[in-house]
Amino acid sequence: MSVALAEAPVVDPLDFTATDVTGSSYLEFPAIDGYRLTEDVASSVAEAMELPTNVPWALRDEESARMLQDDRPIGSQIRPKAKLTVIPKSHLGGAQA
Amino acid sequence: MNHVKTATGETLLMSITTEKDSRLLGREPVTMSDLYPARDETWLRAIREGALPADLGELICKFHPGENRTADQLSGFTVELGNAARSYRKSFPASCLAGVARRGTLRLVKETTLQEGDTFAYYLTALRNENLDEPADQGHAHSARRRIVAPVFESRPLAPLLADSAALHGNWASADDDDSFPPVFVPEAIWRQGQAEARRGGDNESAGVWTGRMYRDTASSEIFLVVDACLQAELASEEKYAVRFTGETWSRLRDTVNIRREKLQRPHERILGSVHGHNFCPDADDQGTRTCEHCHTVKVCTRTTAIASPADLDWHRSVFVAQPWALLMVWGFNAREQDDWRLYGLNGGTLSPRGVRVMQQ
Repeated sequence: MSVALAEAPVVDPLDFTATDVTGSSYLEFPAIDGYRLTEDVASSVAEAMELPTNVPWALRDEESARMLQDDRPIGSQIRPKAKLTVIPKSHLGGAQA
Repeated sequence: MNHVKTATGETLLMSITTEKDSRLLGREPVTMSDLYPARDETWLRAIREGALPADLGELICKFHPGENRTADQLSGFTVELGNAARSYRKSFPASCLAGVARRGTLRLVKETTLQEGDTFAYYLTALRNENLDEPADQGHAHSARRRIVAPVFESRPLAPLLADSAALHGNWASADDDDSFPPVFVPEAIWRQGQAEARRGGDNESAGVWTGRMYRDTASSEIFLVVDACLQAELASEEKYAVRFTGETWSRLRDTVNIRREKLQRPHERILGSVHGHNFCPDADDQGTRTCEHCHTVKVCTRTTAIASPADLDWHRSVFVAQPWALLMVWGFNAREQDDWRLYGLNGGTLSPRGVRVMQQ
């Protein structure tokens, strides 16, 4: 049996700070459209931080220690003034010569 | 993606041609993201020579086309960084933008202008009045305020470290290239610890990060790095041909660095690079032989897994943007099933093998 869940309310507009994985760069977003999909926001954050755009990016909420879901509005997943980390969806991986 | 315009208003593009008769197949715009390694390397070189301040955010970046080989073929490009008082230039070959050509060919294959497996050539071009379709800018990025943590170079004499360390180049780096990189010093115990973290995964890849501090020589403008620790990449997903740093992996690494900064009174300690293992040997042939026919005659086995893959290079570029001093260390095996390693640093606009100085303690 499955239980229907109500979609979490969307906070809009939304403000948050983001950092890269090494903590060398910080970004403050003062007012973002909370209805934007998280995947789209992650790309915008990466681009604003001059991170490579040929790599997909994910966001993690450091307060709740959760990875945000790409296909949901960002405003439904974080609270105002959240601290996020933008994380590359890439990996170190082997090759052979 | 922001397409790059030179200081004289031309658009930088990579022209892709057939290899046989040089027929033009298409052009791929060069983006800012493609040029960040060259920009960062220029910045690092300027810092090493004491020519520019260490705060990249205070500098303006311009790009200049290189010399013309033919009417529309450039030998490369030049990065100029500067402020009102000073500027610094460094030139780069077009070959460091090979990734732009690869991106262009992927698009051409999709458009069926090229077939998979076709060979191609490429060259760098600067064209005026090139009308390119740029993605619509919704202005989201412009509303953000960015702060880059400027690197701190503590004062320390370089000569004693050089005297108390031994240069290691492995099988792939050359002492002739040492001047292209800032010196890096690693204590012997941490060097071995890095190897252990790379091999910890057994048949799977595993990883760690190097942390340490950056210094400016008291007797010159040269900067150098001293690695203080090797931290395990905890909770990373470890597979035979991949190791993925999770959000929790990064969170723990940052927390550990912050604790070290406070407890060891090293406020400027930072992540300096990564070390990981390609814990597999080169493929064997149908008879189970890995070595080549020249194995018994050559000193160094060139069949090795100690080589950065395209995924490694993408990962490094994603993690260490605006950190041109950052290191990528790969432990692998050669066809003789011996340990092999390769350390990379930024040179010529791309990651290249470099040496290291190991300190006996």
